[in-house]
Amino acid sequence: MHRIEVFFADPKNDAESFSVKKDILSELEIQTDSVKVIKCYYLNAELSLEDTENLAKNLFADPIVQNYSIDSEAKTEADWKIEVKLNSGVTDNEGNTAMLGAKDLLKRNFSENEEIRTSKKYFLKGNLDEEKIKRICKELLANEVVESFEYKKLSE
Amino acid sequence: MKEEIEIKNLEEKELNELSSKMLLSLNTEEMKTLQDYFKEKNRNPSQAELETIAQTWSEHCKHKIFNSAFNYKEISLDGKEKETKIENLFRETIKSATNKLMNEKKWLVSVFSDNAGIISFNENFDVAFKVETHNHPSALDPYGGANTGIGGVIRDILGVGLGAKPIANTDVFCFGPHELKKEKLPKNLLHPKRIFKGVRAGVRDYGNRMGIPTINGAILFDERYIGNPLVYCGTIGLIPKGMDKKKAGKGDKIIAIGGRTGRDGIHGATFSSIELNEETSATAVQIGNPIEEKKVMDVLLQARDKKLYSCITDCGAGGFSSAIGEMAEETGAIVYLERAPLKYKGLKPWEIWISEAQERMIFAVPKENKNEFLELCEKEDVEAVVLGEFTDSKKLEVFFGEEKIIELEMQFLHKEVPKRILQAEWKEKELTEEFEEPKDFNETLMQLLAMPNIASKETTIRMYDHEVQGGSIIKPLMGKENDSPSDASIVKPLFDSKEGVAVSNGINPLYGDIDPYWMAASAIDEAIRNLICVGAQMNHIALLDNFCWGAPTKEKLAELVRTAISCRETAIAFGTPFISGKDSFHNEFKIKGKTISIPSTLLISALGVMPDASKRISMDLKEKENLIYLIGATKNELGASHFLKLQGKLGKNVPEVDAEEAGKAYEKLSELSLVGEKNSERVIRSMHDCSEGGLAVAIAETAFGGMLGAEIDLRKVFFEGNEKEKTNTVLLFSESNSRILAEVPFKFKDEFESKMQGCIFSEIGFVLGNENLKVTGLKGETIINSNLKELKENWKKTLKW
Repeated sequence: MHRIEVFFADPKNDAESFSVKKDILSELEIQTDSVKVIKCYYLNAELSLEDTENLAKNLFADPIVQNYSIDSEAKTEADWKIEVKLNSGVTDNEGNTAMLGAKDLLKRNFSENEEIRTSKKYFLKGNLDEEKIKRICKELLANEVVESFEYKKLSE
Repeated sequence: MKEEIEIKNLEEKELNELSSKMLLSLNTEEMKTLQDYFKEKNRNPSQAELETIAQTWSEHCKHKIFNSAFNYKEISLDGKEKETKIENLFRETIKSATNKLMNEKKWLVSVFSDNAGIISFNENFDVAFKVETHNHPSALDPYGGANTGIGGVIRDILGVGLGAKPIANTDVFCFGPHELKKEKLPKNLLHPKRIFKGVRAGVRDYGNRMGIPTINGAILFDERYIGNPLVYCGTIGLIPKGMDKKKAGKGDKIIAIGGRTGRDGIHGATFSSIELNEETSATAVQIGNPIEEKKVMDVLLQARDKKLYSCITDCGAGGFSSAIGEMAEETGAIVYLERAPLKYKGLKPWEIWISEAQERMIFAVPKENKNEFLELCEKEDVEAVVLGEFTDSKKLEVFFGEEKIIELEMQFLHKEVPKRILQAEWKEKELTEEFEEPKDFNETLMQLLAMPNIASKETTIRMYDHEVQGGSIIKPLMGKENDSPSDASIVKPLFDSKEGVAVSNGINPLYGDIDPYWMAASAIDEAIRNLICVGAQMNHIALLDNFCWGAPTKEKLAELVRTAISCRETAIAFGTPFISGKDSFHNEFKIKGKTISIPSTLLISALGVMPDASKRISMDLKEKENLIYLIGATKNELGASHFLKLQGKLGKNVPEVDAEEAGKAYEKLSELSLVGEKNSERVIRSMHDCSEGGLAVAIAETAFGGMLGAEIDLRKVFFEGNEKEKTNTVLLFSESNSRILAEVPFKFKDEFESKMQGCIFSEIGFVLGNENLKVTGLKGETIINSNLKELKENWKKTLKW
């Protein structure tokens, strides 16, 4: 089982990170120094490292503006890390479509219990404490009806 | 049946407990009816049978409240009582209006019998229209709820008749105030701004990804929508003539195509029949996938044109149980549920049967076409499975493997839901009208333009693709700077033919706080006059009603009765039949024992067919020195106006409608819209309706459109009523209905006036060459003199996020 993380190489192309940072400020009045959003694909399937590399390069990342990392966290300067996932049992359309793409690209089938699940990681930098991070999760990034979140402090 | 649920020997109290424990949302009488049924059969029901009955009999599917009998009592202020008995509210109001107009309106094709209403479009096509609500799910998960709301109504259009092709969407949202202070937000509720953003994105992502233009809409704000926002989604579709009828025959295969079945949206139909509270469960939420639905649409339209199937319906509320149950109402069906493709293992048979997983459609395919149909699905990469077949047993039989889990008679399922008699009581309200006169009309106009209900919705509109398919002729935003809101929108769906479809909405729940009767009349008038403003023809307009109400208490039911009666009377007077509708009750939120109920909200959507779409008229002022006319009378009707809302008051003089008088003027304007081929030959160059904010806001908006100033003189405005009540405030801010601003070149003055003879109209001013808005008051003094750029900036900033 492998994990692929996809992110923008140059912040100026990264509209999503920019708008999350803006929303944190305008909706919650919390100042951050930087926000970086990373898309994660959990490949719960029998896949060689070579095939995984192939998927990352040719299916999930846009080689012009994006980079990817496999099985390791993208290097990001940040104080806090948040991850938002769909609850188990909630249909992950993006993951299902990724699976279709994988079938097409690798020209093979997968068994019934193999799947791809997606999540988003947010790396935040700034003068933030646990209470603020919790608010960002609850009031902006995750809807706890269908999603759950985890957070972790990265720096001391 | 292996797993039985004990019901035969239950007491009344235990029956009620069972209903609420299983989330069946059935009342005592309904539970007793089904107890009797199983007593007679001398067995207990399976869980799947109980769930099927609950789904089929749900408010959502059977519209029990609207089809009930009513004892309607009116109590006037002096204590006089008047009682009226109504046998069946729906039949005696909405439907009776259509029945009455049926003979005269030859263009009606299919009304109230299918997923959507259908009217004639041109010699080859008909047009179908449906508006749905998806309120409860949107309160819990704004993105997913709204996403599946629009997905559902698109499937309604796909499944109407033998299938229509969606050509346009329209959306109306009601939210709590976006500036609500955090401290005022009840626990466990999402902030209105977050709901707004989520809903907006949800509807956008579905419509845009399916390639359907969103051409029209509205957004309203009120404190009472905090716990229960309203999300109305509508779709218009084009269907070839002769395809409006469908019928499954004996031996036809039941084929399900599209998305897989999961645990999504279990109990959605019954869930919408109860109110939300702090612990409402999340399995009621569904997840949408527009790409899947697009593929389903591609299969459907090809199969339709090859005539591969005899009947079709969408899987909406109640899932397979409702879809197959309805299709087999006249015949009977046998279903093998273990064949349904699942998203994951572990679903119980009854869960598969009632799941509301999205993007699924059911087809009745004659045996000889089965293979061709399945091949087509495979070619388009859409999963399809033969679930069973239609029979002539008049029974619904469902198997899971060897085990029979359902055996119910269609007659019982569809016809024997007990009828209710409901009590409704209307007490005349004691209201007063007091307010402060504005000190500076410039300032008041500025404030009105910044109110969220009136302010520019440009940011939201821009997120929606209104150009895809290439047919939008009157777009949601028009004018010199492409930023002024059209009254209605027009789509010309066929490239080789000149007919157009115009669509608009009318909604004003605030008026209902004074009298729901006039709320309904006003909404109908607003929807129609919006269509007239873009050049639609008065003789070819159909309406959709959409009721969103709180819990059915006797006060709320009285509001319902008044609204419905008004719908009948106003629609008949205008000659505009209803063709379809929807109702949603229990729109309220319980928190700490306190109930916040939404204002009773009626949305009227209007559909107009234009013989020549090039005769469209936009709302922006076109040319300096043209004359500005106001059609219709201004009255002292500040009640529930936005001017009074500014002061936090309700008032009492709610705008009324004289439909005979208004209809006459609309007909003449329709005829005038057709005059002239080139722009320079047209008698009317622009039209704009007076609604929220009255004449003052209307003149500002039309001036924003052309970025041309205007000068108007209130002394010339036709006022109806007691002369003593005629003030600058009333003339500028009263929201009297049936009024339209029209721009007419001086050279057509005589032609316009002679044509409008017999109607109320007044020439109130003219277009300026500069960017100033100037209003002269009743004493000849200048009361407004504002720069358009400043006004516009103020109007645009409120919702610029």
